[in-house]
Amino acid sequence: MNNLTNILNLVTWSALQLVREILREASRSGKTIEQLLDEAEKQTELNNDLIESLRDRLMGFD
Amino acid sequence: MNYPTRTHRIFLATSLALALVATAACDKSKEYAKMNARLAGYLQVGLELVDRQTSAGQMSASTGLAIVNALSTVNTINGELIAESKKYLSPDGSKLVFDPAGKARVLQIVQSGETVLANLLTSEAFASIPADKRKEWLDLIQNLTLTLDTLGEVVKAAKEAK
Repeated sequence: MNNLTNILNLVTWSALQLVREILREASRSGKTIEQLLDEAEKQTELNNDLIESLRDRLMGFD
Repeated sequence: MNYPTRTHRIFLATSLALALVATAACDKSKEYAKMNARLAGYLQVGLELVDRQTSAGQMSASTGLAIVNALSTVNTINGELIAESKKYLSPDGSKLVFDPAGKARVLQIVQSGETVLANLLTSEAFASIPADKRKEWLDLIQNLTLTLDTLGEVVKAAKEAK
């Protein structure tokens, strides 16, 4: 039962990632190269914020 | 009905050929920029996955931290790729035109990203991910590697500025 739940969770997560990627791809198609690079740069900065907060939390665990 | 003359046909064929060449160059550049955006998106997915799995007690903090450090390096590498690419944006912003040195630099950055991901796959941190959670990580790391590979292929195939 536990294994089945894990498999279902994995399938749901994979399907959500696929939908998310399709939506992202669709929104990217009409953009200029500069807009796409700016978007990637912005996401990279957001990732840096996420990295900092994750490091703070995980280092607090040990 | 007026049929096009020979001159019209030659003009139309030449225009079409030029449009196709321009579109192909633009599409390759766009594909490249999309890869940067996709890479950043996959990294966000990875960071959220660490957050979720460590919060749920499905991954230890030390494993999570090791993965975050690897993803952070790839994120920095993606930032470098974006900054480097912006230097080669044509004046009208329609395509990326790399010179030989720029191409070599971008390929070097791409390769360093691939090395970080290959090292993560053989690391102790990766081996300590619970077996039932490893598939998600394998998929994600494969997607990141594939995106970097594609980026490298697009740059290799790109025409160089004279």
